[in-house]
Amino acid sequence: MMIAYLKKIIKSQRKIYITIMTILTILSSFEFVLLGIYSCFSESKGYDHFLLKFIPAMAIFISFFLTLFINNYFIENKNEEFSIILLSGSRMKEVLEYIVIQFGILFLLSDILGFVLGIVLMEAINHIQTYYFAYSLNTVFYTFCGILLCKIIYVFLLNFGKFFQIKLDIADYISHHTSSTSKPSYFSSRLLNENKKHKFPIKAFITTVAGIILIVLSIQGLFDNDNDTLLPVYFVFFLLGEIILINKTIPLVYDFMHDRKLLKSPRLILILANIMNLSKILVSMINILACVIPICLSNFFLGMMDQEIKAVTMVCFYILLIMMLLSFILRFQIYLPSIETDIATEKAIGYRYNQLLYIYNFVVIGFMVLIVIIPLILYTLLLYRAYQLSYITMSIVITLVLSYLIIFSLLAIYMIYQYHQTIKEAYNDVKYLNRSE
Amino acid sequence: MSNILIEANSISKVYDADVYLKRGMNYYALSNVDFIVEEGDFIAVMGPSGSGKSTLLNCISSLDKVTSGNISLLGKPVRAMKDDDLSDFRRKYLGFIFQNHNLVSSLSIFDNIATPLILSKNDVNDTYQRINEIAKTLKIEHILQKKPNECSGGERQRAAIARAIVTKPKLIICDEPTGNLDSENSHEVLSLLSQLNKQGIAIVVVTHDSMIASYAKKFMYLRDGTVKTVINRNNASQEEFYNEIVKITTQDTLLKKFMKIGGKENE
Repeated sequence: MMIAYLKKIIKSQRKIYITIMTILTILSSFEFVLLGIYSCFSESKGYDHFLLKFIPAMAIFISFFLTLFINNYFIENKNEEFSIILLSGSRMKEVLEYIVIQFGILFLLSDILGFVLGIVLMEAINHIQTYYFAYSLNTVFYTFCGILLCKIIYVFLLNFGKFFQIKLDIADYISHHTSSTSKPSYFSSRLLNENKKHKFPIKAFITTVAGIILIVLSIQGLFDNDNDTLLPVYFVFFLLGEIILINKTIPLVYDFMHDRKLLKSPRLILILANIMNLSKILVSMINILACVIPICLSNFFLGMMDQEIKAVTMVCFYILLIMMLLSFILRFQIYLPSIETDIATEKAIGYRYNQLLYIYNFVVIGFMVLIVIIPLILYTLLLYRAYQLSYITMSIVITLVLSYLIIFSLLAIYMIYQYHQTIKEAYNDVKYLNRSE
Repeated sequence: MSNILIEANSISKVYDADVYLKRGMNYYALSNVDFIVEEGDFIAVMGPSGSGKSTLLNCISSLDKVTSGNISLLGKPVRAMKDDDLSDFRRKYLGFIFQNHNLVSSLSIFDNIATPLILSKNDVNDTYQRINEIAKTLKIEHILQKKPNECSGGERQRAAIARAIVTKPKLIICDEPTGNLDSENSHEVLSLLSQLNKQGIAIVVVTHDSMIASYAKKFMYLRDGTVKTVINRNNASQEEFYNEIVKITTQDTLLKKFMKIGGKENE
């Protein structure tokens, strides 16, 4: 019975299963490459060689966590499935069977494919690069299997955890799941039940000021000729300031603009609300991205004269960027179905098709400006300063900036395309209006 | 000047246009239905699941296109109207109450209710005044700042009702508006709709509940995409109207049951 149920689930969500399988396979192949690079220097000692091991080890660590994040996102959508299994009175053995078959096979298959793809990728990298990575296939195989085992154990534990969480609170999951309560907004003083005027949101305001100070100081630091060794640190400060602004300032701006602008602009209110929503959904990815870039840049500076370090950092940098891109894409793809009913509702209450296209185009543009463009400007400045101080060559500056720009432009194009497809489908099909929760 | 808001003549709807090629026959969600909504009407539409009730609502409210037949909105044929004109029509003249609330998840309840007013470029002070009044009537003042996922099913439904009536539309279209409410709240909502109807707002409500239908002035029974019965309440009391509705729906259910038994015996 459980297998028949599983078949139906996979059939109905074929697109998402194929995407997850593809992304997990690519991530596994990257893990293989990183392990291969790591194995080349595992026996070496000394400061430079510590860096050579640290860079791929850090990338493996991030890749491992991205895989687990992907699983978490996937499980977020499984509440209904788990509730149905529980309501149908399935036994523990059947639940175990369901989880092992679905997630075990998914991870096992993607890792087998990833292993094969990894060998091909490693050969390709050795072919393209001037530096040759002489890795040990045996060592890579054992470590690869060890990581797979850790992932499978984690995924099983997470799934069982989720299952029992639902079992304890089944009524809540099948009716509605109440999340944390929103804080009262500054504008709320004009609402009927809000007799006393709300206090000025001093905490959010101070955090915003702190974020701005961090950004200003980091920009000043980047231009300070005496502190060239601290360049990546200033970049970290800048990203920290920006994350503060995204998390705290956009909601604050939303509240302040609510009466003055948002209640007068049907487009702006949806643009800002959706940017906030999207940032919340992709917050883990944004935080990882904010860690990845400065670490890679630090490695470039620390190993400025060493060709080995440059080769390793370059490969790891590309792999990390592609991994981030894939994870963003997957998270976004899981998020999209949740807004189909919203778009259909917006149509029903009078939003025009072109208005919706405009709104969601600006959501992507706003998101990209905050997450990609502003850091990219600073990132380019930082690299240029590094070039002025002879840490790196101009060709490296251009290569790094262009790769970053191309990868995130691809993400922007993908997001706009997907939004357009979703709008087209949800706008023209009434099933999204009458779909039950 | 005519007071007809929506007029549908011989409308039919086939969802899968290729079904004829696949099965050799068309499956009609609606078949040759005539339907008129005039100012001040209160029409209840009932019928078994799959009878075409929601399809009828979607078609007459311009959310979905008909396969054949004609629909006119305020005298203008839908076929001659552009997509933007239809959006403007919905914004100006219609209010929707959906079975599943359909509140925009990224907006607070206040902003959800305010959206149709924002689209109409309404004055901000008036927006606050209207929402405060409606929130008080529907007892949702305490949830105005919450997000839809932080509210119960009943609260979300009342918020959806508030959004539908906040612009004082000419017609409110309700698809199972009390599906998530208890009987007391259901009757409160229906009393509110009746009051709005007395103020001249037309209401079309799809329901499975005969008691809810008895609030209407006109009753329409659908089966297999066609209109089987239409009765007017005229001067009958709500109780008399209710009894008449129950008689029609029960008769139809029994008829269907007998047809099934008869079919089996013939086999």
